[in-house]
This record gives sequence, structure tokens and C-alpha cells, in this order.
Amino acid sequence: MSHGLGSGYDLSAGTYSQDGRVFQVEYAAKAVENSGNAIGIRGRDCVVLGVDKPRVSEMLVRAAPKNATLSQNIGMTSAGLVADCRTLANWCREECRSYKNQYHTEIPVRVLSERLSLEMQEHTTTSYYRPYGATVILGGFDEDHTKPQLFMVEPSGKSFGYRACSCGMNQSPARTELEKLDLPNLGAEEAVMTVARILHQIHDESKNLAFELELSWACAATGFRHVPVPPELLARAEEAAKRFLEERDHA
Amino acid sequence: MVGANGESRYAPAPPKPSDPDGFCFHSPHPEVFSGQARHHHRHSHQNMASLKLQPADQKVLPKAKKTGTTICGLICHREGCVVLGADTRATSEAIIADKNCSKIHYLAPNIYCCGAGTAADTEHVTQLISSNLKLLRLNSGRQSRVDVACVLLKRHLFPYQGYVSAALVLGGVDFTGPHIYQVWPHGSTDSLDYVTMGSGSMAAMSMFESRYSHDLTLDQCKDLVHDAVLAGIFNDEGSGSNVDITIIERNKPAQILRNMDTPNTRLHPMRFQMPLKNTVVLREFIELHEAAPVAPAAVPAPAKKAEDEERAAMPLE
Amino acid sequence: MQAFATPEQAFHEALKAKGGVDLGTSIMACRFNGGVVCGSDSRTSTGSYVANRITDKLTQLTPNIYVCRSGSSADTQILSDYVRYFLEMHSLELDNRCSVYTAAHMLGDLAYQYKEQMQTSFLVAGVDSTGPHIFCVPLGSPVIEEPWSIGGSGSSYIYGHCDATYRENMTQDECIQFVTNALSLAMQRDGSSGGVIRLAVMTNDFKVERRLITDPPSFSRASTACKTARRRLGLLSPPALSPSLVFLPRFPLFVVSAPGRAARSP
Repeated sequence: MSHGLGSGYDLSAGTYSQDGRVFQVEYAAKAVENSGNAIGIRGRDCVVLGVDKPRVSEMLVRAAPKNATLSQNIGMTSAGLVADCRTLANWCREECRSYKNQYHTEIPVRVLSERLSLEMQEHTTTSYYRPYGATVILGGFDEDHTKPQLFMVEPSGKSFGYRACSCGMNQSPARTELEKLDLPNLGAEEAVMTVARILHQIHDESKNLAFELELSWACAATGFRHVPVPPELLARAEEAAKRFLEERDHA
Repeated sequence: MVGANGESRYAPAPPKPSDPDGFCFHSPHPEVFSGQARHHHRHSHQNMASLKLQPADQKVLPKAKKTGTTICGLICHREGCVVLGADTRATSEAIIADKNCSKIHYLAPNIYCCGAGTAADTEHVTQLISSNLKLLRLNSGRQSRVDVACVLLKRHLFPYQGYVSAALVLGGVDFTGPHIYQVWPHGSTDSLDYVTMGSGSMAAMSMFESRYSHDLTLDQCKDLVHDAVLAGIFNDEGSGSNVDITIIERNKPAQILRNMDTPNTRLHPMRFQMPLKNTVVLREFIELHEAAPVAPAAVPAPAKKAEDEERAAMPLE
Repeated sequence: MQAFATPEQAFHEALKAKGGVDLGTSIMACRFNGGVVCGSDSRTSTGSYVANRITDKLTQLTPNIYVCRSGSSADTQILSDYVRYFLEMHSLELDNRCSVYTAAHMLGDLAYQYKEQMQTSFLVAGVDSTGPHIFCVPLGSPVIEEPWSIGGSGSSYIYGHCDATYRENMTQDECIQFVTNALSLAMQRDGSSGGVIRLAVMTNDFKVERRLITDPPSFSRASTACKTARRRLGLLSPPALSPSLVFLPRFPLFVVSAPGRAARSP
């Protein structure tokens, strides 16, 4: 923080700056913007979650999974500090389990997102905590399997439902692409193709970082369970995405 | 409290349903008498002798003062008010411990509560709830509600599983109207138009069942409650002495009619002034002793106290 | 230990020995083609004394779920109070009606947690987005879904009747009739049940109707004769029978022309 209004007020989430901001929360949001991209799409009877994982080392066998299954029908993907994301995934799993234990039904995605947002908001109110440097996209189905659900929770604790959402380094170009889609008529496979294409499309070529795609989905074909996209379909989607980019470059 | 043989040992375990006596005082584990005892690790044989020697008639708790009671209350629907009634006898086993005790307790200006059971329990439970209601009123600035009093009472009684022996008739009027609740020692409650409790409850209920209707005027209600308590006083040996009645109307101070009827006044008033020379002196004998060393004179007790002691020592009737 | 015909009776006797206030009870719930009916008698007893003869043993847990209580009055009251509170919080978080399944399991979990200290037996009946449901939560606190269920000390007397009479896809009126008849039979044979019949009818459009049947149909000659005698003494006003109380003609086990006054002695 340079010298200026509010200088010195950015060391703790427990203190406002003089113009009423909590800088630690804003820095947490910046931490998310420094990471790879995550995308969630709610198509026709399906939810697809995708994330790009930078290959940090040429010797890495395979990047650790970033999409997590929280309960049978709910999955999450995230952007931000990887360790924070994993902590939140575990927190959500515990919440799903305790809800099921108490009410004997699966937790609805909206309820999970609200509880998660409370947990994240709590980390923005005291100096004891560092706000989570992660944005979480929750997607899946409720127990009645009627409607796909998609929610995004930000480090500040903001939580909203979306038709499609993105977070991470290139969230704005991703959002521009997402807005072009005809989401209510997007079938499951088509949605997988689209997510792969957008993630490739927005990848910052200037930095020339190799990356891996990870996609997971929940739809009628998976019995409304949240599972990783099958490798065959994933390969097909990546191939199509690369072809699309080549054609675009030729044009 | 001390047990019959000087011990102060009470069985903490609740009575087992299978126990034929319904209550098992000195041996909460009847199996200690059988061969099963040796399977009880940590079982001490130290008490075996005393347990065996315990005479059967001593397996009884010393009795607390009970209000063997007739209490009742009803709703006067016609005038939207509540009438509570109680007798005034407190018993300790066969002895009447108090001939004019008060069993209608204050909970709030608009809520009163009749108590049956162990006198100390009803007294303390109602005091506690009364104070909680007062705190609620101070916090909220509103009149207390009868159902709140009812919930506070049952939430207090339930954890004690009936060991706080308070059977209550709760009555009052709040902005939702008049209410009568029956509160059992185990913590269950019933909301009814007319209820009775205590050992005389059946006598009182017979009056209510035959005469209660929704059209009764307040005066008729008062008479009915009065008659119900009288039925308890005259037909139940645990109830007796006088009739207390409390009437709670909407937006009016409660009418507390203490000893509103005294059907058991003495027919033969005590006369302590005996005529002089009432006792005939048959023989007068004066024995002379050697004078003992003179002790410092004791401070004479105040005259009034002596008089009191004399009165206390005097047999009544 | 005395031998008892059914667990319900043993349970009832054990409760009497405990000395608490007891819902020696007949409770019942039954599904029909558009909802669910639950009902109970209205007697609460302490030992041999009827502590309350117009008890409401049907407690509303949520707007669309009722629980029929039997066992210790204090225990069932406190448990259903807690569950009602938990469900209210749950439906606020859910922003929707909670399911009967959730309500029943919540009650079952609580009752199981305190099963050493409490004597409770419940029927949870209600309607949710998946239709009408009945769950039985008896003594050891299993949670069992059933198309119809009976409970309480009076239930021992009517298992055969219910088995013989229940049909799937009854209409609402038929179901009410079934429940009313079964409860009347139980109340007339079980000394710990009696009074009036209280019903709650919940339909798939989330409407609830409470009914009070003050003059249950009478089936045995003895009770009819008793009623006649009481009527002569002026203790019982002649019942105003609603058409819905007329006995189902297809039922073959009892021969009753008009319930309540069939066998009036000459």
C-alpha cells in the first residue's frame, strides 16, 4: 500500500480504512485474480465445472485435482490459493455430512453456498483470521434432481446464483464469452465442449505457460451425480478447442 | 432431612418400573442379594449386613410436608376472566401442619398459580417463575403471557422428572384472553376450561363436571369454584379449613379473596382464663433444704416472651 | 414380570408404574389417494384417573406435518416442542416446506438419543412435495414408513380390523371413515383410551382440516346398552350423527344398522 488515504489500515481484516474499506478482503480478491481460471456453466439439465491448472514444472507427472466432489450430487471448482481451496472443499464436505446427519436429506446447493458464504464472511471480520484467498464455484443438483444449480462464493462472503460464472486471472474475457452462449438450450456434452473451448481461448498465451484442463459435470447421463468428465470426452473436447483456436488464427 | 435410622442416605435411582413396590429405597440393585452380586465388579459387601438387617418398615423416606390439597380453576367465558380456588390445609403425614396456609401463589399481576404437592416445591417453583416473568416484563415492557408462564414451568419441572413435586393449576388473563393450564410434576401440561388438582381433585371435578357451562356469569363461576373447594374440604381428608379464591379479570387488579369462606371455625372457642381456685389443693407439703451457694441472678426474660412460651406450651383444645 | 399381550401394553403398564401422566392411547394415521388422515382418542390418564378427557394428542410440527403422540405426556410434549422448533429453523433455511421424512427422522434421532429416559411412541404424518407420508416412530425409535399405522395401548385391539379393512387408494371420506371406525373400536375395548376422536386431514394441496368427533360410532352391544342407560339418566344427549359416520355397508364383520343406537334394548 502506497502512501495515501487509508495507508496503514491494510494489515488486518479487523480494521476499516478511513474511507470504509477492508483492504485485506480486497487483497484476497487479488489473490484469486493471480491464479488460473475456473468456469461453471448451468446448461439444460446439466452443470459443468472447468478449471485450468498451470503446469508448474515440466517434471510434474500430473497436476493435483482441483475440482472436488462435496456430496453425491454437488461438486465445486475454485480459483485462488490452492491450499485455501482444499481447506474450503473439506469444510464443505463436513457441512454436507452434518446436514445429512441432522436432516437425513442431501443439502441443497443453495443452502451449502449460504453456509459457505457465512464461513468465508466470518474470516473477513476479525484480525485473528486471514480472509480465504479463494473463490468457490458450487454446482450440482438438489435431491429432487429437478433443476441444475450453480453458485459462486467470493472471498468477501458474497454468494450469488448464476447461469454461468467465472473467476481467476482472465475472468472478464471468460465472462464475455459466457454471455454469448444460449445457456438454457445447452446440452451436457455441448456444455463440456464449450467450457473446454473458453478455457483454451482465454488462456494467456503471452505468458506461454503450459496448462492442464480439468472438467467435471453432473447431468442425467451421470445419474445427476457430480463426477469428472470421462477422459475420452475430455480429450475430444480439448481437440475441438485446439482446432477452434487454429481455425480462428487462420481466419 | 434425616432417615428413620439416623442415616441421611437416599436412593438417587428412580424407581424401576419392574419393582413390585414401585419404589426401592435401600437397594436400587435388587440383585445384590442374589448370586449375581459377584459379577458386579466394584461391588462392596460392606453394606450387606446393614441392608439385610434393615427392617421392612424402615424402607420408607421420611415424609415431607405435603399440601394434600384441593385446588381448582376455571375460565369464565362470558366475562373473559379466570377464577382460581384452593383450600388451606397443609399436612405432614397424619398431622395438619398448617390450618390456614395459602396455596394461591402470585406469578404476575395478571397470572396466579395454585400449588399442590410438596409445599416447599410449589412455593419455590412459583417464586422462581414469578421472578423470571418479572425479568421478562422488565425487558420487554409488556404484560406477561399465561402460555409463557406455562412453558417456563414445564421447562423447569421436566428435567427433574417428577422429583420436584409440584402439581399446579395455572390461571391468568392476557391480551389473548383467559387461560387455565394444568401442570403436572413430570412437566406435562394441559390447557382446559376447568381443571382441578391435588388429593381433592376428584371431589372438586365432580362439581365442575356437573355444573360448568360456558354461559356462567362471574358470580356463578365464583360460587362454583367455592363449592368445588368445599367439596374437597369436606370429602377429602387431605384438604380442609378455609376457601381461598382469586379472580383475575382483564385490565383489572386481581381480586384476592383470602379466606373468602371459613366453614371450619371453632365451635368451642378456646378459653384460657380458668376461674381462680379451679384446682383444689388437697395437700400442701414444703420440704426444707440447705441453702445452695447463691448463683448470680439470671436476667429475667421479658414478660411478653414468657407469656408466649406459656401459650406455646399450653395444649390446644 | 407380568406377561403382556403386546409391547404397547407392556409399555403402558411400565409407564403407569413410573407414576407419570400417560397418554394410554389409541392413535392412527392412514394415507388416501389425495393426502393423509391422522387421528387419536382424547384420554390422558394418571393411574386410574382421567386427567384430561379432551386432550389434543395431534401436535402440529409444521403447517403440513402432524405428529400423533403416545407414551408419557411430559416426554412426548417436550420432544415434539423441540422438533417443532428445529423444523421451523430448518424450513427457514430451506425457504421451503420441510419433508415428512426429515421430521420423522429428527424425532426418531431425538427419541433414540434419550431412549433410556423417555417413553415415547409417535406417528408422524404429513404431506410434502413428494406427496402424503406416514412414519411410525415406536419405542426403540426406528423410523418406518407405512401406508397406515396405529399406535398406543389401544392399537393392540384393532390390528386385525385394520388389516382386514385397509384398501389402497381410498377416497378422503373413506379414509376418514376407516380411521374413525378403527379408533372407536380401540377406544371401546381399551380402558386407557376414550373420550372423543380428534382428526387432522392433510391434503396434497397443503390444506389442513381439523375435525372433532364427539360421538364416535359404537359397535358393541355392551357399550350401546351403556349409552342407552346414560341417555335415560340424562347424562348423554342423543348424538347428532353426521352422514359421514354411517358405517360402511361393505364391511362384513359387524352387523350394525345405525351406529350408536343399533341395539337399543326394547
